[in-house]
Amino acid sequence: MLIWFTGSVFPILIDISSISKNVAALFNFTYTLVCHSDPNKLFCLDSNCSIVCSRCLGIYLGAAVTSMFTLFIKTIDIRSVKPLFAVSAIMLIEVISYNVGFYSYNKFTAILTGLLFGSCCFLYIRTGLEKLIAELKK
Amino acid sequence: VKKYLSSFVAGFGAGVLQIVPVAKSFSCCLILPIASYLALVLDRKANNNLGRIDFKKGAIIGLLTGLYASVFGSSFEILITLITKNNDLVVAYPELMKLIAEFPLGQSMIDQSQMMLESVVEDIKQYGFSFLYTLAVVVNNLFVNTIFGLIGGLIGVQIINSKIPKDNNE
Repeated sequence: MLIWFTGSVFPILIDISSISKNVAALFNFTYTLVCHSDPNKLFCLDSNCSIVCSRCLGIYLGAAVTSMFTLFIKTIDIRSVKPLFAVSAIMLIEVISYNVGFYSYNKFTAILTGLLFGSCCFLYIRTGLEKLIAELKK
Repeated sequence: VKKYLSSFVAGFGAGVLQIVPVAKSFSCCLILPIASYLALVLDRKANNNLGRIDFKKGAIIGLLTGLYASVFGSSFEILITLITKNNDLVVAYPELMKLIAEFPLGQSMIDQSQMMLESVVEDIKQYGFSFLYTLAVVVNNLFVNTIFGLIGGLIGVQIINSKIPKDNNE
């Protein structure tokens, strides 16, 4: 997850002109498969922008941070799905509010709601994968 | 085949939504996981299974839903391109040419990329088909849909199982 997140912000982290041009093109192509990458919604520092939109950036950041925090926890077992529904609802409300014109697009709100969703979603994916592996080992 | 009919139905639905203009923006992250979840629900209803679902089954149904969605989504996309001789790539062509020119690549690579894009767009405009475009659509859909289908399957199992007491394994 950390590698995937780092890839999404690599134009901010390093000087794009200093790396292989083929690698830069490959990065752009890979991330546009999973994000619309609308130029107006990219997260920018100075003139360097992320490859993915602010919301996707938040999702990947949340998943990367959570994966780092839970790296040394052997198993995660979340029984209730209420936290997942709660963070999904928050993100959905934000998306709908923006689309119906209640407020204009805010990159930081998008990152924040994405961050919450990404963190929570990662825990469920990890739980699912752990249980899948356990079932396959039986 | 009957065993995974639910994946077929949900995958077909997701494949159709992948070509609907506004809905296709959410295809990977929203439609595919929801389709996998619906496939699991349909499978339970079809088999009259009221017990907990195995993660293995959830993963298989999720993967198959993604696979079917990529097959249908790609087929519809290619078919519509063939009939209309127009698609998103043709519409975005002038912008893409500008984008490639601005990209920090060597001039020879920019020229090659623009020539390749031009030939793809010309083929689509003339014949409604481009091998390179078809390959890109199929590979992209296959890669993205199967991953998000699997994720949807694994989370779907947890959503369904959370509503069932642990000792109920009917």
